[in-house]
Amino acid sequence: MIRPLKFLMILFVAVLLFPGDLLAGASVRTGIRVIHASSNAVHVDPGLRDIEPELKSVFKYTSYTLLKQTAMDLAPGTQGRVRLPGGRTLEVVPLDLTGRRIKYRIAIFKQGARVFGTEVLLRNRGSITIGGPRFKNGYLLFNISGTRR
Amino acid sequence: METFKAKYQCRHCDARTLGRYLDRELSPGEWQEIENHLTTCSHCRSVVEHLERLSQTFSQGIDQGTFGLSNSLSGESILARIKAEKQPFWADLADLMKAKRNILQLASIAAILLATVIYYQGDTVLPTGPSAIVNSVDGEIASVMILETQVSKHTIIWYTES
Ligand SMILES: [Zn+2]
Repeated sequence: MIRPLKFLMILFVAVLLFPGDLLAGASVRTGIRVIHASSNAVHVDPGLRDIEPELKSVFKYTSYTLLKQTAMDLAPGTQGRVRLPGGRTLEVVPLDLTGRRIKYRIAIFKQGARVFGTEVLLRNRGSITIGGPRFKNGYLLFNISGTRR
Repeated sequence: METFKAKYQCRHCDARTLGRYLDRELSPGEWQEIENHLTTCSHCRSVVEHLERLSQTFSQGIDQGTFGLSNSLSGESILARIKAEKQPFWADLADLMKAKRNILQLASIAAILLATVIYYQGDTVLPTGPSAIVNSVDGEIASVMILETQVSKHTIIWYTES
């Protein structure tokens, strides 16, 4: 179980050292939806219908409100930033569009400090939901989608 | 390293029934039946104890929102907790899924960080793979869980700020 971790660390270092190899490809349409999940009401925004069954199969919340929705075309290596409630910022960077999946680096900053980071391989036209920060009697969720252009 | 399945040979109960017994989802009659059976069958008793321990491992993590390690890969710590049960991880997780369909609302824990990494690294992904493969997670976080929904294998990362 330890070996894959070492491998990942080496991979991560390689990415840091040789980012040039990753800067190939066109751009990726990156959609970001900021969602407030709570049990304050029974409500799902129409703009969240596509992921409603997924969210409801995992979380017990009854209300999913779309706080913000944005989409941007990002070339590999370019940052996309979205302001979040509570002094937070979400930063997404597509690193590699050449594989079968789109490699993204995603980070969340709070008052300028990096509090969360992840690197994911997103299925083209797929999305990932990241959640956890507390907000107004509930939690914030971020749904990030990517489509090659 | 005998697996749960190999160990479990009793004809009277299956893992799902024992999971429902633990969750108190059985009718009073069925529940009593299992309760009686457990007094005589050591097989089923050990299965129940095993499921109970695993369930605690998960519920402690989810309820408290912490796996006891901050500033670290919590995926690692989840795994560490499960490994501490001294049971084969994969057999356990699969059995837990089968037996306890609704662990704490999180009906669909199907993938955990390292699991995802080990099985999908290198982009050798089937069309039915998860919506996102999580390579790494870090930050000022108290805990993190990687989930995959049963509906359409949508990947969810759930973290707790420290
Ligand atoms: Zn038995």
